[in-house]
Amino acid sequence: MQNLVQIISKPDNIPIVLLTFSVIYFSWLAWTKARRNDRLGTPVEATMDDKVQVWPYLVRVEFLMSIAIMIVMIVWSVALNAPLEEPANKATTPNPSKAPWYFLGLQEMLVYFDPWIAGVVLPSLIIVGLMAIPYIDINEKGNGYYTFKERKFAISVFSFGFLILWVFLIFIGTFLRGPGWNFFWLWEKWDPHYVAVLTNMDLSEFLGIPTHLPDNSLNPVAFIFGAVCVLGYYSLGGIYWLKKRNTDLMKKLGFLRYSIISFLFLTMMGLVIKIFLRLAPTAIGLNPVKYVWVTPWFNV
Amino acid sequence: MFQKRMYLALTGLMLASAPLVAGDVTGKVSFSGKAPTPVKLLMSADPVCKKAHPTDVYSEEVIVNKNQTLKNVLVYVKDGLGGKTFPAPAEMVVFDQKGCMYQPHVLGIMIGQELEVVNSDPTLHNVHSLSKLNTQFNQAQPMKGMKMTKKFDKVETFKVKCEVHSWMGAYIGVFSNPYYAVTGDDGSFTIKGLPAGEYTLEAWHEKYGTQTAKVKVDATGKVTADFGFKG
Amino acid sequence: MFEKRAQTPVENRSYAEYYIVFSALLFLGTVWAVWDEVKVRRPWKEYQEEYHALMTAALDSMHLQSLQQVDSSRVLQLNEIVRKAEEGFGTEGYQKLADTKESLQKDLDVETRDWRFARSRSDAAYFQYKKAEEEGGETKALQDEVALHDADAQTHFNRMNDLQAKIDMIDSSLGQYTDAYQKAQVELVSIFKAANSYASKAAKMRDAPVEIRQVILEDYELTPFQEVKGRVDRCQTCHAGWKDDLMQDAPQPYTKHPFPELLAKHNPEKFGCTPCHRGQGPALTEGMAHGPGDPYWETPILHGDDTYATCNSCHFNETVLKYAKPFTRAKQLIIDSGCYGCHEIRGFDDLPKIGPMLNSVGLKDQPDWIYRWVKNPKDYNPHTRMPNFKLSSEQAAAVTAFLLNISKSSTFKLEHPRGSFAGGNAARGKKVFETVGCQACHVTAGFTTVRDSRGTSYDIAPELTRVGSKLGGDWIFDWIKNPRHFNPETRMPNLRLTDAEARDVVAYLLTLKDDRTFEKAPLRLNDTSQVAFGEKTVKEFGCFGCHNIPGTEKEGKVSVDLSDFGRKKYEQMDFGDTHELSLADTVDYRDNADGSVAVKHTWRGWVYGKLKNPRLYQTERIVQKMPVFTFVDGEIKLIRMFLISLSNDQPLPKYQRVYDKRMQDIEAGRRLTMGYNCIQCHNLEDRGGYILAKYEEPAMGPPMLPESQGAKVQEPWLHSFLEGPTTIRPWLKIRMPTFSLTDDEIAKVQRYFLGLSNEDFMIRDYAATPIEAKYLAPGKQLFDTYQCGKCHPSGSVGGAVSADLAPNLEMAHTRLKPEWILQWLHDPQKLQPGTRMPSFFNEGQGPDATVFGGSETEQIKALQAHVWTLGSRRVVASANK
Repeated sequence: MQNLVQIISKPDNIPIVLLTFSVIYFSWLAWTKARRNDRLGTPVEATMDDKVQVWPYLVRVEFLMSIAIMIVMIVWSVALNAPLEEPANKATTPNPSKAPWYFLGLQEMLVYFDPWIAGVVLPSLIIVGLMAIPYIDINEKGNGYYTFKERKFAISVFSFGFLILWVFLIFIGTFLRGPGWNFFWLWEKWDPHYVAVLTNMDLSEFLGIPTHLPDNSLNPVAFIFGAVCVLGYYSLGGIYWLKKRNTDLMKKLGFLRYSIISFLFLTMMGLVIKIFLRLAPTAIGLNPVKYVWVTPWFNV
Repeated sequence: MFQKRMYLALTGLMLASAPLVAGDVTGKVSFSGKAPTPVKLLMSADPVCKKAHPTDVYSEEVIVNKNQTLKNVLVYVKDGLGGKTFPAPAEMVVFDQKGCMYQPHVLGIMIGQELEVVNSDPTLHNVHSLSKLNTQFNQAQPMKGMKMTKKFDKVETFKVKCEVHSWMGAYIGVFSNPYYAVTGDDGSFTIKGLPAGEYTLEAWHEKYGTQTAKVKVDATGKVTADFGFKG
Repeated sequence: MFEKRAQTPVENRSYAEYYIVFSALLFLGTVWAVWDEVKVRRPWKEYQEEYHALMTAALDSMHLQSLQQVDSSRVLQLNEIVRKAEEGFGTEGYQKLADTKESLQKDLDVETRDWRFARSRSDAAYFQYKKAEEEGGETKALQDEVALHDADAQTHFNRMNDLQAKIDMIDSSLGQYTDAYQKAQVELVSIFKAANSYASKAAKMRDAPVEIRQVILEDYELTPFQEVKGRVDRCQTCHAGWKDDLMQDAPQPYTKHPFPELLAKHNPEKFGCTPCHRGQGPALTEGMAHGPGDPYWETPILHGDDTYATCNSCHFNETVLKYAKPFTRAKQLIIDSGCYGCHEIRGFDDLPKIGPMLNSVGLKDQPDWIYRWVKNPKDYNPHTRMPNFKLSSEQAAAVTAFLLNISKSSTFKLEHPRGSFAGGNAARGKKVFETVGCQACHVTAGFTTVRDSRGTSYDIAPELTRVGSKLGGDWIFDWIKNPRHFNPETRMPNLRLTDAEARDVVAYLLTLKDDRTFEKAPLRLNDTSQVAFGEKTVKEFGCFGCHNIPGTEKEGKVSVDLSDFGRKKYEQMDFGDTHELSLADTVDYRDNADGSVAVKHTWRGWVYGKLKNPRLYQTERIVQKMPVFTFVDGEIKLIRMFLISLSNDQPLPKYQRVYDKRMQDIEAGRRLTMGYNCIQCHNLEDRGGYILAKYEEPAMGPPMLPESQGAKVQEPWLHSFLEGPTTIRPWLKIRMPTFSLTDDEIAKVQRYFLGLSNEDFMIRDYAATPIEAKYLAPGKQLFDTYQCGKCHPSGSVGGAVSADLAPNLEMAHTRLKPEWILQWLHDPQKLQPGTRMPSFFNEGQGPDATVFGGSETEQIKALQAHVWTLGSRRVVASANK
């Protein structure tokens, strides 16, 4: 418990503590508003036709809030010192070495993927995916008011991606990852000498196909097996297309938009599946899955 | 701030040297048991020494007086004066080398007081102090009538010896106060003018070591303190 | 309220209260930020003000004190003189003269100005004239103009002189009024000079600016990545009184530094404080600067003796530092314990292995004894330097088999026929043993003086209390007659015992028996698998780190490199099964009542535990091989202090002492003298001389070797003395042994002594030292008057009396350097504290005033001349020429 207090009260972690509560609050706010609108049928926002001038009625409130924020910032900066640690030393890195808090979600992904996928491919896809939203989102409803009913898919996917894959992973990285990037529950002490079980196996090895041959070169069988698994997973999108291609929605979307959406969606879900494959097997006495597909260039 | 206070305190101390009631401590150092046979000194190595003593000479290490007391015992205040300081007396203590013997054999001296070392023999003598705290000296006096003076700055009792005449030895006690005495031919000593108070006295003998006694000096003056050494 | 407000149209809402409250908060916040920045985060300002106040107070009181010492009656007199003179200034006569002088002065000023102007006009006209002359123009008029101006200047000049003469005359008449006044003023100033200087210093201190005082080293250290790291060091902002004598007894942080002699060589104004003390130099608050306030700072301030650790960052090559005794002791401890045999440590790479070679061990010791020794050396000899490897019985038996197998190829043969040792007298042997010097290194039951005065938990040579059960008479006889015969590398010297003496000593040593009984060792000596297993064990545990063992010459050091150990983090250390000791505890290590051990989970705690018991952190899984030493608390702390210093970041060479040829010579000598245990008997550079504790008086033991030793004896003499020592001080019973040094080693000793006394190695013809004839006769006379011959013989002597005589002066001209004799006669105690030689001179005067008017220098020269002639005819002859 003392450990938890120590972690929470570290000046570095204050933004994350605030983030945790503010994210919960704003999600709750959005959900209640959306529910109210969905129940009413007509959004409340649509009935509000009373309008005032930006100047001075908005600007004065904004000005007030800027003063308030200034006050908070001053108090914060005086009361808490900059969380500086030891001078950088190439010979000894701190343990745990943590990224800035906003990257901790990405760092958490490094546990499940090799650095190329987790550090380069996935972050790029996040940015590309976000940029692509205006082009692939063809739903005109739900503009300017809170709703869920009219944007079920978009809101679910976003909430999942942001709340679970981004915010929650940051939370884990901050509070639950201790020395050696080992997992500690909130109530556990961060012991630098903690020893974790290391029994990860590649997926092919579960079927008795060794990833590497005795001479340490890649086993082509395992390679093909992995490729089949991964490509098979992405082909799920194609299968779904074949099934539903004649619906109105699909026709409106068109093949290209659909492929982009399905690729991004499957990649996001793939991330979760991989985490699941790593964590779940231990519950039923199996070894965690290390990689699904091992290639000479990257591992999935 | 503390410095200011310190200086004030110092000036105060200098002003407040009020007169004190004082008393004398007298006593005897008795000796019991068998006195060791006196060691005869062989001075044949230096004809001058030999000539100075027509009769036999004996070592002064242990001299038991006729009244069964011990000579050459240094008695001094070991404890009880606190941090008081005393000025060194102006008169010198004379330390003579005569007939290839040191006179006196045991002496007390105050810090800063002058010791006059005299050679009364027409032969080479040197005085080598085997002090640990005071700076050692080893000064030769090759001619008769030579004099030199020495001062000491640390409290210590140490031996002095002559490297030329191996039998020559004496002891010097350096003190920070004037309250010490050496027993003489009757084994008695007197420490004069000791301010009223409680003290621990110590008696020191070169062979028999030290003994302590507690005394209380009050306004009336006279106090006795006796010591007894065993052979 | 809010509900009501929500119903009010936005246009009608007032935000005035919010503005007022928010603005007030913002204002307060800003004030707080400024206060925090200027005051709360800058406690050093108060410290510095307090320092200035302390200094001012001290200087003020010095001022008062020196005022009190002023001769006040003289001051009164002078004041009276001044007052009287000032009365004189009011008289008519004075006023008249003064007025005249003033008007004359005014005239003089005018004349001086006019003279200068005339000169200037002349210069300008001369320029025009020369120009015209060169251009070939009209020059006559110009020349006249120059002459005119010159004449004008001359007139003014004359008038000036007249006026000045008049003024001088008036001044001399004014003298009657002013002379006494001026003199009095000058005297007053000199009387108050000291007081005024304190007053002005105090005033300066009172107005001293409060400012950050910092030392910036732009390049201080080099990391292993070849990056240069700088340092900012602001300690002196608060520790402002470090060099003020007045702050000797002041409280921290104003206290004067206790070791000014160290600072003389490590000036904090140049280096700052953190290179030695560590801590966070740029920080200006106590907790941050000293360390505990900043848990991330890797080098918090060092406390107590640990501060000496940082000496090693520059002085890693040196084993003796005059002003850092704990450092010297730590290095000696590490060298004596042979840590460098298994660990790579910078600065210890050229040292010999500390243990004996094991080529022929089977010809010396019994197999059972070897087995018991290998299993636990402390059992036979509790103070041995050999640590306990805690080998199992199988391992010990195998190592024994391996060692005995090696000895089979040994070529050692006894030098004397078997049985030569017999017939000695143990009582006589004991006496010889006790007097000739064996006890300087070897402890026997009942004589531990040297061990005690060394103050180490281990002995430098084997304790001989049980030697009679270990060794055979033949071997001992062979050994003490010539130790190099059995072991060419041994440090045991030859004490030149006669056969009779040696037999007596053997007889004595054979009486020293081990009266315990032992079980038979489970040895299988001829089993080759045992031998192989033994070899494997020897290699695994790194026995060759300390012993030369045939077949292991190519092995490297078995344990970890310690070069960056001081910066290892506690997270990287394993604490095994020990309990964690609270960080608030006063000690780093604690033995619990139930037999378990608790250590602090810090670097210091780990190291303490490791040195206390190297197998402490061993668990069922983690096997440790470091053998168990028996260091005591003080030794552990010294070693730990040394380990603190080990870092790969090194100060740049320009901040280090130049390790030049002389330093290298000195250091080589130190290592040699440490290796041969010279310092057991001789006090050298303020270390060693342990055997002296045995003597009531230092002069009765081996002489100390002062730093001036190199300036004392002639190089050829020292060479032959070290090859074969001769008697110098007949009163010594202890013998200078024959170390059988190689020429190279003797040269090292020579250069060491020369280096210490700042002398250069050069070839000199000492026999040709010139002697002035005029000194010879007075020298002889003084030699007799001062009765030098009473102690110093100068020729062959014999008999019982000779044992108490001083060095024979016949040796002087071949042994001593002539310049040294002069120094020696001047003050023997200074060159050799505690010497029996008295000084004859006092304050430049000799006792006999009839020779050279008693002049010390002349008399010493005369004595030196006479001494030089003793035992040397050639010099006398050449001097007579």
